[in-house]
Amino acid sequence: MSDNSGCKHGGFCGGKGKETMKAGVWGINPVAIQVLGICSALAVTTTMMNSLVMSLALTFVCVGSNLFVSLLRDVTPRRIRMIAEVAIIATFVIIFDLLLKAFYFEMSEQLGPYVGLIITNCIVMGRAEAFALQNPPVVSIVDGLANGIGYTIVLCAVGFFRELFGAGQLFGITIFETTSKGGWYPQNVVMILAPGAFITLGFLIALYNYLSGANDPDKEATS
Amino acid sequence: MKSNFYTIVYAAVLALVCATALTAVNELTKDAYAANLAAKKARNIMTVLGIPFDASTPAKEIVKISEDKVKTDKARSELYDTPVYYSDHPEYGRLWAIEFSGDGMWKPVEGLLCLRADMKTIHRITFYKQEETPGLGAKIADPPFQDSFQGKTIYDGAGKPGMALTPTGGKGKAHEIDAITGATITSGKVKDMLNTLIEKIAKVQAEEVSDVR
Repeated sequence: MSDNSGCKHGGFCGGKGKETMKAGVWGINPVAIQVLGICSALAVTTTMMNSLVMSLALTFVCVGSNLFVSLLRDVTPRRIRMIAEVAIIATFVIIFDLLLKAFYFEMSEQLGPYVGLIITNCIVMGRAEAFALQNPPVVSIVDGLANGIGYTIVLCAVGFFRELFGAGQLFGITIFETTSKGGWYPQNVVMILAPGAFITLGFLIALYNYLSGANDPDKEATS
Repeated sequence: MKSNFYTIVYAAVLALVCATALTAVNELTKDAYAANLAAKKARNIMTVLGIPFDASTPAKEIVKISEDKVKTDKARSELYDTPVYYSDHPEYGRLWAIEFSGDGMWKPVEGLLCLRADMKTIHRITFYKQEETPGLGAKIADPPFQDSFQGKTIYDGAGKPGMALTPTGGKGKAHEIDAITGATITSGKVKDMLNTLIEKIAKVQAEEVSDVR
């Protein structure tokens, strides 16, 4: 895990809630800076609603697993800590998946395997390894929440542009009337397909780097 | 370093706790999930049979509506070796919806073929379960491809059962469908699974006709 080297960047291992929150949401944003969890960020962001539910799933899992990994950090044998983390993460992911299937079936069908794949999402495992294992429960929850929010911001931004330019809609509500329905907007299919996600995310990361002045090599986190 | 015994006990306890939590959540949600699945099936059947329904109807009610309007033909289900449903359409008379499935390019494909009363003309078709390549084979789930089946026949001009998915299909010949460009394998698999079903239907039809004679 590269995250261990992140301590010198400040705010990474510091136990304070506010710094932790700021780091997760902006400073070391899991998607924009660490470029983690890209698979899901590209796959499910065709619409705002998908992005939002996926973000909610990740935040739920990240908070839950961080809490339990942190609670058990002193009793977990080091040799099997990663297996223990995966077991805890998998439990939360499956619980969310079951709830989705029972109470929001259409969304569960649309997200398909991607909810289950949160188990392998580097953000969740990364936070458990890099943060929850060394920090007390409350601040670990904050960290999980912060990373969830950081993920949400990026996913929703990608989803916003993809749904708007790909389908002319936002949350399923028509913003641009597409030509196929007699409107003026020629649907941009590439935005709905995977390349559209790469392009959008690329621009977003460029914008993020510009805003945060992340050209400085010292500030750049590796993934 | 903690002892091996401790590690084993820890792992066992953790596994037990996780499994218990999952079992509990599963028990709590399984009825709602089963209802959702049944509703999905009911929606598919009613769509293919052309029965209008409100898409926002809750799961349990939609199953009731479907039980009311759609009947299962047990005899035919046995003959075709797959569930067969029917309902009476105001315009086309009795419509038959027959489940089919087969291997796709990656994963199994499932769908419903809806035939008109003559057991020859396709009323509609739907592929409700597929995991073909997005943008290529997955087009079998899109309306343009499914619409192209409407009004086609499951017999060729000479009365031989079977459909064809060809690059030039859909231009004139009643049993030919325009195959999906870039999805040769999916198109072939779809053709195969349809023809397996069509052969069964044709065989049963031929026997019925000879019985009447």
